[in-house]
Amino acid sequence: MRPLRALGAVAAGVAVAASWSSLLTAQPDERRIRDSSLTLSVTMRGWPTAAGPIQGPTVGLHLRTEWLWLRMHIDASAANIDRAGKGYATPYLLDGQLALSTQPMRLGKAGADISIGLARDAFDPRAAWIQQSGSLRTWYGVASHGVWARADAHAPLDAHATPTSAELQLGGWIARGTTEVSASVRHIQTGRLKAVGPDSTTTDLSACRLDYDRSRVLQQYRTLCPQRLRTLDVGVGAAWSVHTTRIRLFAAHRVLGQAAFGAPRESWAGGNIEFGWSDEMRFTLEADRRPTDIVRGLPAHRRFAVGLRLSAGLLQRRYAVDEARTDSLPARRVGVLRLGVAANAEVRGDFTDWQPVPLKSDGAGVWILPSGIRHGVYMLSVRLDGGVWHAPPGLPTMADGFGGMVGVLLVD
Amino acid sequence: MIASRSTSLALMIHAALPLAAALHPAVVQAQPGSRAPAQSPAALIAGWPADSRAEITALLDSAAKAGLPIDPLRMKIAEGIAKDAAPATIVNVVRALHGGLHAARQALGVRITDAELVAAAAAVQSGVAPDQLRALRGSIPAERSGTQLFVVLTDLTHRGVPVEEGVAGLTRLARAGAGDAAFAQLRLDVARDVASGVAAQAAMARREREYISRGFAPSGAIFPPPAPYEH
Repeated sequence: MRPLRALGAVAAGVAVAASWSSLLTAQPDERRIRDSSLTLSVTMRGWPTAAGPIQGPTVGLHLRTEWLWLRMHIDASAANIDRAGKGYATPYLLDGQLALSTQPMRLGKAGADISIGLARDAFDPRAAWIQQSGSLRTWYGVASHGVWARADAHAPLDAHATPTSAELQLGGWIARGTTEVSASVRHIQTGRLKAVGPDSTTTDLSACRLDYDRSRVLQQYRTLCPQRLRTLDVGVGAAWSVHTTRIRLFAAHRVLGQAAFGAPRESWAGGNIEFGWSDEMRFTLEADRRPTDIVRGLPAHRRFAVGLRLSAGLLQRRYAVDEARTDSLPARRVGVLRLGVAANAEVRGDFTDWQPVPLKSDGAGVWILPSGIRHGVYMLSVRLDGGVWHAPPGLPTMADGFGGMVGVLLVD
Repeated sequence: MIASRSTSLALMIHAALPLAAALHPAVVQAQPGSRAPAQSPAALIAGWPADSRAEITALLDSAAKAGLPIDPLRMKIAEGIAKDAAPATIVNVVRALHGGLHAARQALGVRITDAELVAAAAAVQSGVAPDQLRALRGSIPAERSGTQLFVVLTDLTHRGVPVEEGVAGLTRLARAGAGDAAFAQLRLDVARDVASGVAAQAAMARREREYISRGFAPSGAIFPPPAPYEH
């Protein structure tokens, strides 16, 4: 039984890898920064099991541009369990995920993002399986409150291992000062498994149960159930921000579960603490208990992790100078203004000797400022299609002394 | 005699401008792309009435003597001409800018950059007193630039935040650890609040409380807002 528990824990690691990685890298300030960034996260994960700890690193890489978000992570875990053999030893575990999404969440704006992902788990290349997933998330949030909804669909290529499933989550948050609270409801619905392997230890499919499949090189727990399964979870969370440290705790309860997987109602909780000396380098400690996973047929388990996240703006190409954090345009960067859709746009200002200069369109109403602007403070105004000159929307403004207003551009 | 002396100084200024621009990369001037080179003040005002020309020349002369950057004045002339303002109006605007630059220099000294001086002069022109300017500059470390701070203050006053409230609020934020990113965010948030009908002074006070309670990251940005996390 011990090897079964241990391998179950390894499989659990596969299952949670995606959410684990996103926890570390999808930090809240993703919603505020419009420029492109590259984030690297390295996490050491571990699961205490009866046969000894299983541990390994997770490396996550996030490339985010203004309109596209590419997430990749690779997990590598090593286990030292059941040395005596019996065919259950698991020397390594690899799991990778690639996901693309558009429109990262931003404060003060409603929106949606769509992601598609491919996950590949492998104890052994021969046993690799691929899971396709799609997610649609929509939200509206400001600094003090917000709501969001997410719908997910998963379709494994090998329906023997896990069933198709759909997931719907609704949530919201309220923030007051340095404290924030949140709540969410999640409903999961699975499809039926198509078949059961011939060497399974269980052939009785009259009831849903977790079973251990010896026939697969990817020896794992799985769901044996001729029926569709569903769960309903509710959760609450709280977080505190104290200077550079952020603490988060959550608790959840399954109000509707599957009796075949142990307790039909179960509770779980967890927390993490994130701290760092700069925005570019953050450390994370996490520990939690996870509930039974009816999709992958994984038992409840505990996790812990320590992580490091590094962020860099090395890939920045465009600077929206009319948004927060980018009021000042770094020298040698290309600045853009969102002036709106027009056939042509012009700028005139201190850096053009107040002579009109046409702006090059970057599409969708975004216009590229002339390059080569040196350090300094510049007054400027713009016009579309030969219309009235005005201060660019979004930029700081000041009176020009001639009865009008001008925008102010800072170049660091 | 005065006219003759002014003319000679103007010629000297004319000749010295390219050198000044080369020696001071922070000077508020740039020649990006393929645009024509900037015109000298003398060329800009060549067709003006003599009295206006003389006044402009005297202002440039005074600025040069006081060690103030000439280029902001020159660009203000170019701006006025581009906006079809009358020479007398341009003279008045340039005089006001000269006064702002002078007051800012007196308040902040010579150790600040020209960009910061120009931003401070704009704040002075929007009603900020030199003493307030000095106090606000003193709320951030000397090695940091106050350019963003002054630009935001000017913008806030334009949006209706009283100067006293703006200076006091920004000073408190700066002392609490706010940096340029937080000041930029403040400007946007107050503008958004005002656009939604909130009084500018109330918006400023509300955002100040919110920012200080939330805290600031080491970079000076406001600590990130909550995330819609999942359980």
